[in-house]
Amino acid sequence: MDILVCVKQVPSVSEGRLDRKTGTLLRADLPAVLNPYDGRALEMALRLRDQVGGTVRVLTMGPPSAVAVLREAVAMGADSAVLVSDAGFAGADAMATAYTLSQAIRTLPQPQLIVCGRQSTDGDTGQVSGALAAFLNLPFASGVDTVTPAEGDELLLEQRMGRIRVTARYPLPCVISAENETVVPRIPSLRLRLSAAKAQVTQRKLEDFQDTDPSRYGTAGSATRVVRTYRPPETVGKAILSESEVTGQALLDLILGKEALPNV
Amino acid sequence: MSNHILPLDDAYTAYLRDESRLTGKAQSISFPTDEASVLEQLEALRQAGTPVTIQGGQTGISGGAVAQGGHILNLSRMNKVLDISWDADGTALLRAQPGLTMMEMRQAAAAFSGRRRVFWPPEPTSLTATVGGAAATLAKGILSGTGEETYIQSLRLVTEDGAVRTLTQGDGLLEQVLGTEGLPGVFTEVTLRLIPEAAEIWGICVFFEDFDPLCGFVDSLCQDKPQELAVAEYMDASLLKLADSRRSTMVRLKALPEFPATGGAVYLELHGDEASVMAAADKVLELAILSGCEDSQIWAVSGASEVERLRELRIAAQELVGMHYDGLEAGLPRLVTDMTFPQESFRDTAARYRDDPAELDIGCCVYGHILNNHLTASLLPQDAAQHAWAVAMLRRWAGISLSQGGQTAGSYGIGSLQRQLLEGLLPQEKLERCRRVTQELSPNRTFNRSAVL
Amino acid sequence: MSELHITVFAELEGSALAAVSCQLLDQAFLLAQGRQAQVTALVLGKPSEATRAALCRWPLERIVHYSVDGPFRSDLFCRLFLAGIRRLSPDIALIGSTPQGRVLASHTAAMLRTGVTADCTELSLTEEGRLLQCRPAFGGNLMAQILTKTSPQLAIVRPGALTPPNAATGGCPIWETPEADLSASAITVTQVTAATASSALSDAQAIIAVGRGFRKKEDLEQVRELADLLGASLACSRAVVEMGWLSPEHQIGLSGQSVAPQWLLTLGISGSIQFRSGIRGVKRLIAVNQNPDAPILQIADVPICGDVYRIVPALLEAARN
Repeated sequence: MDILVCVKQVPSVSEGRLDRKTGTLLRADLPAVLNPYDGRALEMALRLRDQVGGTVRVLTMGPPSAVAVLREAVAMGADSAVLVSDAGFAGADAMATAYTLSQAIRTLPQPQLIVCGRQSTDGDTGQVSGALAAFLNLPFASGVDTVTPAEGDELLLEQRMGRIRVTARYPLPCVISAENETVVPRIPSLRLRLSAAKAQVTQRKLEDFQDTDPSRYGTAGSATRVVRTYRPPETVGKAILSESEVTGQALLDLILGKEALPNV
Repeated sequence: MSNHILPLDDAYTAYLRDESRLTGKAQSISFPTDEASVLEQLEALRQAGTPVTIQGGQTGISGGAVAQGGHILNLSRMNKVLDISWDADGTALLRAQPGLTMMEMRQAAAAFSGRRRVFWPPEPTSLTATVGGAAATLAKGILSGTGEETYIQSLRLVTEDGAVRTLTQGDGLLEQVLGTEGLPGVFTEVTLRLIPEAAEIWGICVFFEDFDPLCGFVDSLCQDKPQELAVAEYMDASLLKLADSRRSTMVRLKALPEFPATGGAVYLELHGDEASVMAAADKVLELAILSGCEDSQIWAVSGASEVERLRELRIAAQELVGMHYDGLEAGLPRLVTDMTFPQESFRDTAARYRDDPAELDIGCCVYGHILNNHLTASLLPQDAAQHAWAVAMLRRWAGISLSQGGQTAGSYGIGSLQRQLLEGLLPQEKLERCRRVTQELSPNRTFNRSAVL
Repeated sequence: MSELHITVFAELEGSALAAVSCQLLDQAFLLAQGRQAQVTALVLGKPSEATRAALCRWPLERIVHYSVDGPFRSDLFCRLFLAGIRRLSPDIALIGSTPQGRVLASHTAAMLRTGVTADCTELSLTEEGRLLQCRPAFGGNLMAQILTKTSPQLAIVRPGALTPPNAATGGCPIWETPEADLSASAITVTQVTAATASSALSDAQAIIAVGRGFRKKEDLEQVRELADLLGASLACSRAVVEMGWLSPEHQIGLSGQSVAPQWLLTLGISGSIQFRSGIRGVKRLIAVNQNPDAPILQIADVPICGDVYRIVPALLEAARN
């Protein structure tokens, strides 16, 4: 099976450290890593390939330095890597990102399965994979924690959908969003890591796409815009209640959230 | 509230112990927040003639922070970074209160240095250890290599008479005071020298089926040591087994896949520029394959955060062993060696630590530095009887170490535990230095009376 | 100014209205208050009579309903949802942050080439009637206000994050059931089961953690009963494991588990760094400790200085009732 895994480079600290004075994120200082959700999605893809044969291709959209996460993925065992990078892609929201990915994927041999992580630790929207499926006109499965090859061109997927678990047969090709939090991604072998450093990375730019209209990409192609960021109301330093101030019932209500937190 | 002397009631029993698993006693405790309150509290205690035990993060394994009566001066709330600035050669100076933890120090260093990442080489493995405790014991983690450099630029010392001194590198006194386990006085400020991280850091963990090929690998690595080799740590089969059994309940181990082999492992770090690290990694790969490893038995990660994930395995050793003692009857202190055997090879020492306890059917985890052959044996007795046998074994090993001109204790501190266990076998030079500097600075022995001497 | 049109996805759980949908309906009417506005709803599935009646609580203008049968299949449901949104053509669509809602929203946003904002916790309108969407960013350290420049403005709203229902009365709206293929799907659902709740502490939604404030092992029994009554998992600090009172699986902290429950009640835990590093994901922290200087009281949402030996029995009594 030919599988494509979309990955993202994210700052290593998910909390993101803030400049205390300005309230902006010190993102540039943080070492970039492979989004942990994508690491598990890749592990899912690698295990499926190891089981049924085929290839795993990884693809990322980002600045040229994002090639580092592609090398990481190749060290883990991916067979090939694609970097989608263009100054015009910067500042994309979830929808513009998904559209860019869909255009890039259309320039490649069609994969039978596209695997994404549930969300990124920095953007945190979890919207890219579903939109990618829509742009590619492919069926989409979210919350997938188990993938089993089924007869014909089908996959048997187990999905966590809130309070229920769904087992369903999906036709190939399709797009899945992995939610396999308990899986531990493999650590690369030294030999693969050394060879990954020299691995070829395929490049894709705007000019390679079918749709080369720059207004569809990056900031220009994003329908949403952050107009303001602010720090949430401080949560530390609440006045300490003494035990005589709260009855058992009042405390119980506070615990269960039936009563608003004391405002101090 | 924080700056008062409090009676040591039930709410504070947590402060009567440290990672040695010894439990002590005390009449009072205080949590000063600055030097002025330290001075004020010491003044009050001096009038009453109360001995004082100085406490940092309570992470020591030699009982240095365990009080035997008197007052506990807990410095954990003196945890502010006072100043951090660039110095020559891309190094930085971080001036902090003594209770700053390693975790807080790292955060402060990262926030300050941005892309030019700096670190403190002696950083002990416990993230909750404090800089004051590290300066007092000269404890070292896995990154410091084999050098003697302390990376401590200066400190402020309050002696028992209430005098405040600033000691600076090169003045002679600083070097005398460092590592004397709090006997001369209380550190109220410590200035650390942080140095730049290498551009490229790789972590490599080589797993072996058996002890012999592992020793072969270590021998060949030591004969042809790449310059980039900054860390080389051993983890024996029983440590790997213990880690495996705790995998599901320990966050730091959960992020690691199943071990490809469990006969022992060697954890290496290569620090340098990209090209040199890759060349060294090539070399390591060749040596490991020659020692009979399969590709899948050699894990490799790169980049600071991935390296930390792999490092966890070695760092977890101390905690894993500590957990063993949780299951034992209370009061049995932790038995850990801190000895060197200068006339032996890695194979000799590792084999002794493996075979001697096995003969008595006592569990033992062995881990530690390969390059200077400073291995640690953590004994895991099942009951008081085995504990007594293990103590005797520890003393026998200390005798061998002394006969080879080795150090029998000191790099984790002597504290009150090693003092008791290794009575008569302790490194005289260090004891003499502690005695001398205490006599000079705090002759009434107000501080840490039950430790070392 | 033209009339503002807000559509709410009235998601069903089985045949009943999902709790989040009620909150979204309230939210929609709050937004509409004092404006020229209409609120409509989109329903996919087979609502019960009671659900139909329940929807009369809000003065909805219209309800577009596709009476699709069977379990959620993304292709079928996305197609119908898109058709419904096209038919209603609202300015704003509010969708609950549920597994279904997230899938429907991303698909619809892509097909309509509009924007979607995930996990909104606060919504308001600008003077021009644009939807100002607030969501936590960067792990909750920052809040971001987001505007969508295209229409419809799709907002995925986090359940439970909005103000509780206020009494609204309505007439029963017209139900429109447009023609559509209600069955074509490439996906075959073979099994639907209840998700088994994980017993792991790291997945627990409610946790009571005990620490050194307890004097003996037997005293934990009351806490155990309290945890059972409240459906909470029992956990502890390292000290309790060291004493051998609870096994290491119960330990929260650096050398134990990281937890992220909706609420955590700590009893007699001082909050060492070791412990605090395991509770970063906790939504609501209620801490009881005797020592007013205990670090845990500095970071708790509800810090209580007191004796666990008095507070636990009081809580237990309240819980039993």
